[in-house]
Amino acid sequence: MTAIEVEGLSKSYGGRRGISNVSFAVGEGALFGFIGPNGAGKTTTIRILLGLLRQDAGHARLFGVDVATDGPRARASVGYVPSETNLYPRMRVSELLDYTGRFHDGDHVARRRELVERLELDTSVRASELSLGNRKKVAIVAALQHRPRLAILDEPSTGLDPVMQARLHDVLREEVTRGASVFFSSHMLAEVQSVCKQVAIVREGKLLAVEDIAALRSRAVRRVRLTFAGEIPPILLDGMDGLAREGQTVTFVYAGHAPTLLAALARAAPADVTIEEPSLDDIFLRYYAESSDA
Amino acid sequence: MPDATRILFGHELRHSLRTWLWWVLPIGLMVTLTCALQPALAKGVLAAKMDAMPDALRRAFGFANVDFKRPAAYLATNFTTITLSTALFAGLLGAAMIAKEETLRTAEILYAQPTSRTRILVGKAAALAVYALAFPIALALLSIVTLSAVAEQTVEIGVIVELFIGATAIAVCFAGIGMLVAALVRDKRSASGATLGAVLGSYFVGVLSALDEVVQPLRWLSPYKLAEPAQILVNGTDVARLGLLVIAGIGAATIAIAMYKRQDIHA
Repeated sequence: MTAIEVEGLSKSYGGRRGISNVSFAVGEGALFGFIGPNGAGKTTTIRILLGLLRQDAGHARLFGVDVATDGPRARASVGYVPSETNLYPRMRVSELLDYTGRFHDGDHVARRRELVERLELDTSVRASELSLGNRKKVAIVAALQHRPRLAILDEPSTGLDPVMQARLHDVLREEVTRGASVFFSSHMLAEVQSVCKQVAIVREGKLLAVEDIAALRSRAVRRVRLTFAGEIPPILLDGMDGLAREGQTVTFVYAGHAPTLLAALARAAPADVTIEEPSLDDIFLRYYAESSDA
Repeated sequence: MPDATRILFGHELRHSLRTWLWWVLPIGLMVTLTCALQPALAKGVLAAKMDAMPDALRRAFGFANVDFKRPAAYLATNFTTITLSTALFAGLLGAAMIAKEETLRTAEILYAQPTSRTRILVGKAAALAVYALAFPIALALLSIVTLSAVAEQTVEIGVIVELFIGATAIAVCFAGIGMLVAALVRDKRSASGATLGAVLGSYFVGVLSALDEVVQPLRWLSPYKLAEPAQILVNGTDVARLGLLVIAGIGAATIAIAMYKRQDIHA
């Protein structure tokens, strides 16, 4: 069974773009990334999945249940971390967790305590006293305390320090190990790459591709910067693009196999080398180039 | 799945208690003081004031032929504060219960829970109904106890209860209107402002409608005219009129829920 199934989903906000004809599926037990720059339509898609927005066209199903016609049943075992975490300011964290936990069957105390300890969350303070990172921790605990079959997380790492981000990633991997599905939305490629196995790429309201992370890595471009001490040798490589020279520095974008690049760099013998992780824009540009070539 | 209506009912009861206390304490104090002054005021100042009032104005407030020495009649002449505060409290609480989730941006977490918006809103409406009833009941108890302690004439408890039943029916009506305004406007501040305007505006329209026959049809725009203290004092409770107020309130709340459950959540 698929955990999430989206078919031809469209939503516009008056004249403003929302999403257009988005389709993808997330299998049960998957750790699925949903990546795109801010304003790409990630949150709109998620809010439709949760019944917060009504789509103009298309269908969205959670575990085979249509979210528009039977929302409560579709959300029966879903945990959700919103991108902007807003809490009742006068409530204490413990009250908030108890309140959100009551909407789900079962005893969540042990799991809640475990998550609170791992994320180092103080449950005695009022929500109004929490920093952005701590508010996010509350939302994460609230979303996962009832051991949902599907966790939908919209930019969950915002505000978390690197240590807490790593702990969150561990928790999500464990969720998948016990059989849950995780839908992880982010604008940070490096994070999605480190957490997810599969990713959907969205930009300007349209789905560009659904790929395995491994394939994405191998196809991704690298930005290369070489600095030479003396004469600059000719550098010619298949998959090289945007060659530019400024003084003793040469930059270009490379899309191809890493060993080929490394061999070429060894021959050129630069004084200094920088190879950057591809930015989202690099990836999007590549997809745009491919789609316009097609 | 757990019953979300029950969860929301308990949640709203706990979290609106402070608001209820902030309203009931000062208004209750004012009502208690007003009742405590009945023996002195009814004999002197109030009777003189009423005698000095133009006939049209006395008719507008519905006190053309009232004996102010009767404790119930005295309370009825001072009932504007009670009626307006009860209507304001219920209307503003009704507006806040819906609009606060979007103003605080907590709607995203609440409405993503595995329940329908109808169940959530019914739970909120039930808590609203409890406080809309508890407010006039508290004021009624204070009035009856204080008047019983100070009045020289017999306190007609049944008449006072009828006066408060009228105020409660008006409160139910405005609680529903407050919910409807919030479903339309969404933002708490705007919804509160619009509800305040509806509560006070319809009151003054009611007063205006009694000043001249030309503007008399305006009375139909004022829910207060269906439960006037002076009419209740003279003719007793008109069950049909009170029923109309309650139906209007429940109808407005039902429309609010029907509208809100189809709307996009603006988190």
